Amino acid sequence: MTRPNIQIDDEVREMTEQEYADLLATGWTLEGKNETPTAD
Amino acid sequence: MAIKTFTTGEVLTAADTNTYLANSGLVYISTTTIGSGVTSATVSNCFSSTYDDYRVIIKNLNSSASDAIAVQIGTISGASYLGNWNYILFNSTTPTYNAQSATTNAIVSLTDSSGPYTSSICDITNPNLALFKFITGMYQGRGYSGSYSAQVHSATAQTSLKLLSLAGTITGGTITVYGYRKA
Repeated sequence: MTRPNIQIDDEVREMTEQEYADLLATGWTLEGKNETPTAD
Repeated sequence: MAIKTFTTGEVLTAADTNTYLANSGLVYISTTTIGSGVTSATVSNCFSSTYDDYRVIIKNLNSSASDAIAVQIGTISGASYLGNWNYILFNSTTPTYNAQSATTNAIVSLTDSSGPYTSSICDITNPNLALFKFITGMYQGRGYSGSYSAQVHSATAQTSLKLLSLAGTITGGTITVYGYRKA
């Protein structure tokens, strides 16, 4: 599966595996909850 | 900076030009155009000792998901952001109040998966100073307008700003940073 992109200034690149793992650990998902988020 | 009213026929000197025209209150620093399908966008070296306080304009973001975005000052993440973010739907009179999440930095707008409808404007104080930082702003996204604030409990000086998508990705839009001239 292709990992999503990350941008630093004008450079856009695919995330590394570690960056993607860190992102998933935050609770990020590809699809939004499609509802107004509430605080944790 | 003092205010001066110029009169017809008056000679505009170099000194007057430098003092009254060039030395404006807000000084442009940078604009970053967000690329395709990114989960975060970092603006490097936008904070420095030249300014203490900054205006940040985030606009025309096109998100793949209806969720929210947050900002992170430099390397300060997670539980250091304490505050609130609030919103009200365009056709409602009932506000909703939320605590800033301890895991998602400072939420600065809701996002909309149907178009470039997310914009947010905030002031950030002290990012490059060895003091706690503060983020205060307002936004419009997904038909909601709202305000937000966060006290950032870190006294470590930072040089960069990161925009994060809490779900899905962002394509397009810009992040523009201005500095508040100090004298």
